[in-house]
Amino acid sequence: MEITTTLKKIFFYLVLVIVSSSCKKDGGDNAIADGPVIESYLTNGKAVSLKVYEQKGLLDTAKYGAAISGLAITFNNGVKNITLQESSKGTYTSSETDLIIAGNTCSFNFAYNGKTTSGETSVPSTPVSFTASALQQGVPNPDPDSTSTTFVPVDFSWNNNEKGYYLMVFENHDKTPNRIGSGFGRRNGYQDREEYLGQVSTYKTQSRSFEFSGYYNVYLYHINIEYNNIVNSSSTSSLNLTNPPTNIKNGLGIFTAMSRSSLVLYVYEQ
Amino acid sequence: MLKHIGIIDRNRSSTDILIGIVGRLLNLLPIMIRKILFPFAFTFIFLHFAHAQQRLQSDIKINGFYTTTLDVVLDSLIRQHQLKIIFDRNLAEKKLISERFNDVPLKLALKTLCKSAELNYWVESSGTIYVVRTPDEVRSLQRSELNKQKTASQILKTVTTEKIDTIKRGGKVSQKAFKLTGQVIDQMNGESLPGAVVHIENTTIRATTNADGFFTLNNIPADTCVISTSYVGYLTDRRALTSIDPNKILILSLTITRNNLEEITIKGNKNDGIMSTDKRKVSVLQISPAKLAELPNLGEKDILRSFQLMPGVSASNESSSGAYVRGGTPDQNLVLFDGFTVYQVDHLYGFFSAFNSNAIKDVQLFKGGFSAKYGGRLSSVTEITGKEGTKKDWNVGGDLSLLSANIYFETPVKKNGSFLFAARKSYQGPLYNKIFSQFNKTSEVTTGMGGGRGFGGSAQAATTPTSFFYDLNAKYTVNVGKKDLLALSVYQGDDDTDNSRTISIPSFISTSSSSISPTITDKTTYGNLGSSLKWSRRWNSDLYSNTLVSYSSYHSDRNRTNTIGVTNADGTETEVSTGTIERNRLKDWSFKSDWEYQINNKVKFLFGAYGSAQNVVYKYSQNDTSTLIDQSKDAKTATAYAEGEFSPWEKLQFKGGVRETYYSPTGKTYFEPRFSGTYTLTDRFTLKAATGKFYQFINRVVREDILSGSRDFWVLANGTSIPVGSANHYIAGFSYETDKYLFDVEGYYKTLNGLTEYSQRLTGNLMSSTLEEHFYNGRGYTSGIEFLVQKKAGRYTGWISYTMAIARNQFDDYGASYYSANQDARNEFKSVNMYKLGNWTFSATWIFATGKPYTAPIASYTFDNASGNNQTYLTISGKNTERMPAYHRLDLAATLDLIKIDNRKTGSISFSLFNVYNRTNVWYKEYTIYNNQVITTNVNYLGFTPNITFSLKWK
Repeated sequence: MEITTTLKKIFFYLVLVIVSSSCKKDGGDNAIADGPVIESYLTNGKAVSLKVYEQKGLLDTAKYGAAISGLAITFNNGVKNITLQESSKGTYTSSETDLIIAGNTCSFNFAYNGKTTSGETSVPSTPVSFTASALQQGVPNPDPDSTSTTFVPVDFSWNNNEKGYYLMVFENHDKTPNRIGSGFGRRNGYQDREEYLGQVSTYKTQSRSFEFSGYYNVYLYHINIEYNNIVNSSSTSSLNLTNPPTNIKNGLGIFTAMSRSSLVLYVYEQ
Repeated sequence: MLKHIGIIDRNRSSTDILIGIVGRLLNLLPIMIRKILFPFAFTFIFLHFAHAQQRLQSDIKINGFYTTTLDVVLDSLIRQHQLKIIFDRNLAEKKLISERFNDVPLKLALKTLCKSAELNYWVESSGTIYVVRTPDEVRSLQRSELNKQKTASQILKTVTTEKIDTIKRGGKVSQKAFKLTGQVIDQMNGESLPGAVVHIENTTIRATTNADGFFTLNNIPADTCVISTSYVGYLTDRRALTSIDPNKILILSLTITRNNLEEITIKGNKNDGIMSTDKRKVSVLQISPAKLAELPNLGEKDILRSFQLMPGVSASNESSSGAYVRGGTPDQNLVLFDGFTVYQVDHLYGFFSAFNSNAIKDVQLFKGGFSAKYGGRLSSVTEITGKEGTKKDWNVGGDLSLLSANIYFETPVKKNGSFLFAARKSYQGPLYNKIFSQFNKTSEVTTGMGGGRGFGGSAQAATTPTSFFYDLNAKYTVNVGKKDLLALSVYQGDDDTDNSRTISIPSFISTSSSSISPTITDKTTYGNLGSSLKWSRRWNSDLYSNTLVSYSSYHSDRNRTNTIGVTNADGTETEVSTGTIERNRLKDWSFKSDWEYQINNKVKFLFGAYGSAQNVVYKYSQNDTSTLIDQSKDAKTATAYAEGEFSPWEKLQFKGGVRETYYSPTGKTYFEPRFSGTYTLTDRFTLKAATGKFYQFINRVVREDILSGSRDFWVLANGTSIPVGSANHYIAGFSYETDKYLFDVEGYYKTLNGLTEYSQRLTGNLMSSTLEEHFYNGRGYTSGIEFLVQKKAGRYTGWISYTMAIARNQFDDYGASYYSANQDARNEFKSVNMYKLGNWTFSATWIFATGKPYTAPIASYTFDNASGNNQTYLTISGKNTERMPAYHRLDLAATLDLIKIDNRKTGSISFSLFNVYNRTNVWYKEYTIYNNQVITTNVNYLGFTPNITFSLKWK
């Protein structure tokens, strides 16, 4: 019967096609896994520090990748070249603290695994007119059995006509700061707190901002977009995973400059 | 309740009915169907099963006392009441009857006679009554009748040939050839059947019915031909055109194919399966909603999901009812329901299509290279025609499955109208909960709050699941005079997913601080409302127009906020909400006028215009006061098209068309040429090809957080960050078709430009932040080859299809090279098998698909941020470089038709097993960092899921 022969032919053709098109993995760039990880925040008034790590295997339980030592890292602050010294394993620093000048472009490079890893960043201008509506912040006891009082926020403001990106860091002066309230339900230790503010010119404190009392350095950082990009990237599903943004060539991580102003804020329990 | 509907209908307008019934129905549906339909179901199961199509409607009363054989009784009835009763005389002679009838209606009398003779009766649309043992015998009786006719038509055919010869010699064509206009309808309910093929046998004269079931055939050589009508899921109808009045509209009524009716050998092509492909059309699939119940299903008879069994439509997307056609994404598929665009095509995270199959008459999928009549999408078109409702007698029916309850009501309205109302609502059945929990793994959270003062306490988050979906369809159709038809169609479908919970703090730790319990609102509602008012007019037998105004709106609201009570110093309590509130609204007002002008059998013109005004609103706010995005974009579109269908000689048919669109946001016009053609090499062998240019002006962007209920988010192209998408299609193939088998091969290549992906990045903190919107633009191509072998008729029907396809994209943001698109499935093999045995239909479908590409990390790294807190990042080698394990699953179903003693199908019971061997198919992978390690978790699709569906009709 003709249909049988046709079916047979189709069947064998199908088998042929399926066999010949066996699955292949799409090519990717596995070289990326060999790239070093850079961590460097250049701040006015501070020494240049550049940490270099290896990446970690997926099942590696170490917190950070292995530090890479023995590198010859050249740093340029827009005026001169210097060679950074390895102050501890994988951490390369400058001895001078006046290298970071607003408006200049800083860069670094070093040779690693036969490639030149480099990065470049421009130093943002120092924040202008950073002021606070008050230098004291009363925080109500957040415990459920406490008698609540009204939280009066402190308003910070600065000049941001150029739509720059800003970051605010709260840093308690005390080594072991005092917790506000009993700590009911909260056992986390003290950590400096970063607030990514984006392109704004004001910031209002919230009652939940402060869990510990004491004197705080409030730093307002004028940051670059590369920092903003990387801190805001987190993809954790196979449906949307992408490489995190980086401004490092032949490597990963962050090499960014920031300029800061600061205020001191006293936080107390109301 | 069922009676109640009937009363409402008689006394109130259809709008009132809608409003009045909807609320009650939706609430009562599950209970009502359970209470009312189940007893019926079980009653009918035990009735004798036989076959039938038509209700016997007769006022004849039977009188008399019979103690004789059945043949004598029937002969006497035939004689006395001029009835046409066909029976097997040899059989009837053996059946003794002893019955007394005193003014007994004919129906009852027949019932009594059949019962005592252990026979059944069958009523044809013509009124002919067949008395038979089993339904099979109807066909053999019909065949013997047909044979008589055949002899006659043989003679007539000879005459016809002679006439043609005479015509050719004498050149008197105009005298003999005539024109015929007709309408193809469903014999049971009188509904028109669009897309049916009407063919004069032994000629190339052929037509496809339009949206209202009308067709015109020109130059029919003589009124002695045989006209054959075929439509997917229906028995092919053949009838001799004797004594036809060409000035009248010929009504051709078709009956749904049913079990046991396969013995008769019908000459010519036959298709009583669920899917049909017209060999004269390129890349068009048609499915029969009437046969859907016989396929395995996941809770619901599902129109769009059944397309996933067809070649060229990706099958491994459990979480989307939207069609991935030939490497395209669901938003590249235009879905039209009664003429209006539907933007939200699925329910419950994509597991169910938004269309109630009880309200659908016809569905066609144009996989590519489609007509200039359609536009605005890059890949494909799904055109759905809603049921009009019966024109004969009112009826109520419903389905009940483990997921939802469904009820419909249809009735003729006065002489020329009909009305249909259908409502469907999910209930918290086992199946619903299973799917729902797939998406909401943690419905109850315990938050550790204790320890602070030496005694424990816990805050319980109580979830009250109130999620559901529902949809409503209503359609009112009225014939105004002989030439005009008005139809008002309304569709509304909504999903309401609510995971909100209140955190109740145990009283011994709760104090006077606030009486307002902290609540977490997690609510997503989304849906579509669409309506169209259509006016169709047959100006004359050659000119037909279809004009409609429509409104379609899509809405999606997401509210994920935490509310806490705050007591101020003065003792007043206020609620403070933080979180995200999103709102997407799309409104689409459209006008469309399609015209068909049939010059002769060789030339037909289609032309028309389309205009629409769209408004898309997108608002993203973080709390009551902070709004991050508040957009409202408008677009106006104006389109004109013209297309010619030519058949210059018998074997060749081609369509050429152009479409020109003006799109206001870019201020440009877009020109789309289209072409498709078929060439019939032999009776069985057809070559086909199509090409065209396609534009898309609106995009659905898929959000990154996939568990958010509605992932649909529509944006209008603006020519800059969101370009107007464009595609070119190149399609070629061939089909080889015998009476029972179809072998079809189509290859395609499609280029795509102006693709858009979207992501949001929140910058800043909870109280003051900005939301950055990133639109990534890219291009892509898809290509593939589809093979299909289908057995179209017989006890066993089904098909095997194999598709080899490639879908690759290139987005600059992901790199310079092309990568496999998310929807790329290299090999897809599908086997659909249906076997009919008595009143049972058994079906088995097996799907195999290459795993979808996905992105996997190859390494991780951690570094500190500026203030010394560390964060871990994942490194990937490239986008979509990995493949999931192959997707495959077997589904089985058994469907029992329920037949009443007067021989009509009143319902069915379907037992369905989804993913029979409990294959773990991976949907996507989730990467979490735990103890500095990257832990990969598979999120899987549904495992083994059984289901039962009852479908019942009142009459």
